[in-house]
Parts: sequence; structure tokens; C-alpha cells
Amino acid sequence: MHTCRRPVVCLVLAVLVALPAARSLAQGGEAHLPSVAPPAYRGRKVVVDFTRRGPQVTSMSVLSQPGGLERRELPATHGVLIFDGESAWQYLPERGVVLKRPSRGDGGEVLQPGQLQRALASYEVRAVPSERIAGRRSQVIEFSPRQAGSRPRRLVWVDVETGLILRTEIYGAEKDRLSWLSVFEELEFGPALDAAAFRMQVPPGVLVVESGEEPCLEPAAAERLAGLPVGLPDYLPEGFARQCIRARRQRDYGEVQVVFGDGLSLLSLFEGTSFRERADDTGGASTVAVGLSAGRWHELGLVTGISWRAPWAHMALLGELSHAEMHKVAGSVRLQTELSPASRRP
Amino acid sequence: MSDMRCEDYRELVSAFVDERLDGAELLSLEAHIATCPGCRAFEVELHRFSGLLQAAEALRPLRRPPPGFAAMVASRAAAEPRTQIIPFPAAPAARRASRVTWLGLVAAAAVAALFFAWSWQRLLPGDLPTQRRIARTAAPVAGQAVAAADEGSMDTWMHEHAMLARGSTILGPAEEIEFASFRAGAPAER
Repeated sequence: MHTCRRPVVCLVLAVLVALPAARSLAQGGEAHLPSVAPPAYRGRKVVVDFTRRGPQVTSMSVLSQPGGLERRELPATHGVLIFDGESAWQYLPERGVVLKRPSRGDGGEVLQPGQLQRALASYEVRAVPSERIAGRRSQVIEFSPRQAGSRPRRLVWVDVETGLILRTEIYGAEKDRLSWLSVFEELEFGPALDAAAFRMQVPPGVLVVESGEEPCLEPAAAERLAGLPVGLPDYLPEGFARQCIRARRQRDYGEVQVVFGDGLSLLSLFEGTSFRERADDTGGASTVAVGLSAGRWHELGLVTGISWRAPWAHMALLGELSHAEMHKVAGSVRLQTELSPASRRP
Repeated sequence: MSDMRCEDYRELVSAFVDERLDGAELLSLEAHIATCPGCRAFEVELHRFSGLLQAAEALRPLRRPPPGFAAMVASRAAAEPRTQIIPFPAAPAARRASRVTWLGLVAAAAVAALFFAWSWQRLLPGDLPTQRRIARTAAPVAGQAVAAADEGSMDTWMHEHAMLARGSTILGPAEEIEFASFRAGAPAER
């Protein structure tokens, strides 16, 4: 096993052995990177969520084609998720709706060198011995948070030839116990795929709920659109930076979402003019003080949420951080005018 | 527990679907399921039955079945593709209690399937409330578009959070969480 301590060495080691496309990162920088795009593939993926009371196992079929085309199906629920290159369509049979939204980027299943580089600020990265996954030669890369116990540790098995992520293990921030496993059990590259597989056929009687493009806004523009003052955290865990502010307005309801990321994990701060508690949260959910407000924890599997009532809006913070870090971030949220200058910078 | 076989684990699966498993047995089962595709598939099947039971529970207060309901369900069931059931291992005499539990679960699932089929039938044209619903949504897709929720909630905010995962992070697990398990509503543990 080879362990590396210095980011540059780690980057070179990890990406050189893992990704053919990333070899040029070390040689000439990102501008010269060829696109990392696996060929068309068909596979069967199993996801095991160990955070549930008894592991929850989900099996799904995956079809993918270059150009951002992807189809996932859950046989157990008949749920379907399709990326047709322009839009993402998610059919939820149990709700009788199809959610349609603009497709937000491709390559969710590919290790991107740029993102890897960003993660190096927050994670110790090392290459560990590999094994074959679904018959494919792989390299496994481990991401251990530099701020121990603050966020999950991850292991990623990457296909040596195509860069496709074959297996992911996520170990919870609280107990460093396996919390999430996602693995291809079967994988076939280069199958002939029917183009119709990447078009959503909306079943009769099913409602299509469509959301439009949402650009990233400056705080002032978000405030005007949502009709809400924007709160921001004065504290963020190491490596996290603000990525985007989105705002929505529908009739009397306004909502703002501020997104932070560290390259691997996302953190969303929501505020809305109204908030409806989940029916199952009214009883047993644990409470927590957020500033002077009474807040509530929401255990959503790997993701944890805190909701509370700020003087200016209903607030919620969602992310994969430890409880301590989530609480610290939530407790530091202030209106923008109250923040220290450093926190106001995007 | 290290010398346990798949058939032993599958009895534990039945217990944990009923949320009666904890401690060392749960840990052992977690570790086994992570590496055994057969037992994993078995667990998926049991969860499906469990889901049917919940669906039946949710449907109970709706209303009485219409006349001819039983015959309709029987014909519909005959036309449906059969679900492949993974054979349950033969249990020794000492494990008959578990077998009884399993048979009870299958019987309950059959009842649940009847309720489920009935609810599905209610979505077909001919049923007055359903006709109203179809009339509201039968326009072409572009005309069906409606705006997002007009109230904040953990469900809608978790969805928004998860949908940002693709293209924003290396792994995008939040999207898989949302797609695979969040809606199942199973309680989470830390």
C-alpha cells in the first residue's frame, strides 16, 4: 500500500493511475485535458444504505451513452430517472408525478480531475490496492477528511480505462462506520442502445411538474426575487466555499437556497417564508437550540438536516457533515449585513 | 456468527425487515449483505412485500371495493407477469417459528397485493374521481407543466439539495440517496 502525504504527490499518484484523461493534468494543466467520457454502457447497480434501521438495499439498472444520456430504473418501485441531454426526468410512480428540470451537467459517475483537485484542500488522498469490480480493472482512491470527524470518509473505485466510478463506499462522519455502498454488479461497455430508452414516455394520467433554469444569483438579486433577506453562515468547515445562490418565488411563497461545497460534499442552506413539518417529525424528532431559537434535527440517511425559525424566515441546513459541524454552521447564520467581511465574499 | 450460511442470514433478513434486529446480529447481517448478491436480492424482495403491506395500510380507509372487484382483481392478477420469488431455505424443526412468520408475511403480502391492484384499478378511466384527475393531466406534456411547491418542507428541500449533486460533486451520492431511498421514508439511525 502506498500512502502519500503531500497534495501534489497525491494528485499525481491518484489521477495518473486512475484516469487516462487525468494524466494530462500533471503534464499540462486542465486546459489540455481530453474529455473524460466513458463509452456507452449498460449495468446493474446496487445501492445499500446502512444508515437506515436495517440496511436498505436498492437495485437499479443503468444505461448510459455519451452526450449526457442516461436512464436509471428501479424495478422495485418502477421509478425511472432519465437524462435526455437537455432535461432530467424523474418518474415517481407512488406520487403519480414526473419531475422535469434542466439537466445540470454531465459526468456524475466519472471522477473529474478538476473536482479531485479541489477536494485535496479538505481531504487526505491516497491510493490503496485495487480489485476487479464487475470484471473491470480498477484503482481505489481513499478520501479522508483532514478535519477528522467533520465529514464522511470515502473510498472510490475507478475504472482504469474509462474513469467510470465502479464502487463507492462512504463512512459516516459520526462513527466512521460504513454508511453507504454503491457498486456496479454487472457492467457491459459498448452495447447497442435504443435512442428511445433516453426519452421519457409519460404514463397516461401522470402529472408533469416542471421547474425552469435557475441561474446563480448575487445575494441582493436573490433577496429581490424571493422577497426575503438572505442569511449566510459566518462559519464554514475547512474547505467549504459558496458555490451558488438560487431564489424562487411562487405566489406568496419565497425561497432562497445557498449552496456550499468542498469538492465532495454539498451543504445547502434554505430559507422560506413558510415551512411545513413532516408528519413523522412532529413526534420523535430531537430538538436542538439554534441561537435563541428551538430547532429540530432531521435524520435523512447520510444527509442530516436542522430546521429552525430565524427572525426573518424559516431556515434549514442540509448536508453530510457531523452533527457538531452542522450545529456550528447553523448557529452562525446571520443576515448578510451582520456578517464579518470575510464571510460575505463568494 | 462467522460460520453462518446464507440460509441463516435469510432468516435474519426477515427479522430486520420487521425491525426486530439489532446488536451483533444486525452488524453481522449488514456485513454479509454487502458482499452476497443472493441475500441482497432476497432482502429486496422482502422489502417489496413490506412496501405492499404499507400500501395496503394506507388504502384501508378509502372506501369499500366496488361490485365485481374480486373477479376483476383475479383476472388482472392472471395477466400480470409473475414475480420471481427466491426460494426460502428449508428450515429445521427448531426454526419452524420463523417459517410461520414467513408464511404469514406471504399471506399478508397477497392481501396487500389485492388492495394494491384495487388501488391501481381506481386510476383507470371509468372511475369518476379518476376521470377528473385524467382530465386535468391528459394534455400534452408541455401543457401539463406546473410550478414547484409553494411551501417549504424537508421533503422539497431535500429534493432540491439532492438534485444539485450531479455535476457538482465527484460522487453525487445525494442524488442516489434521493432516487434510491429517501422517498421510502424509512427511519434513519445515527
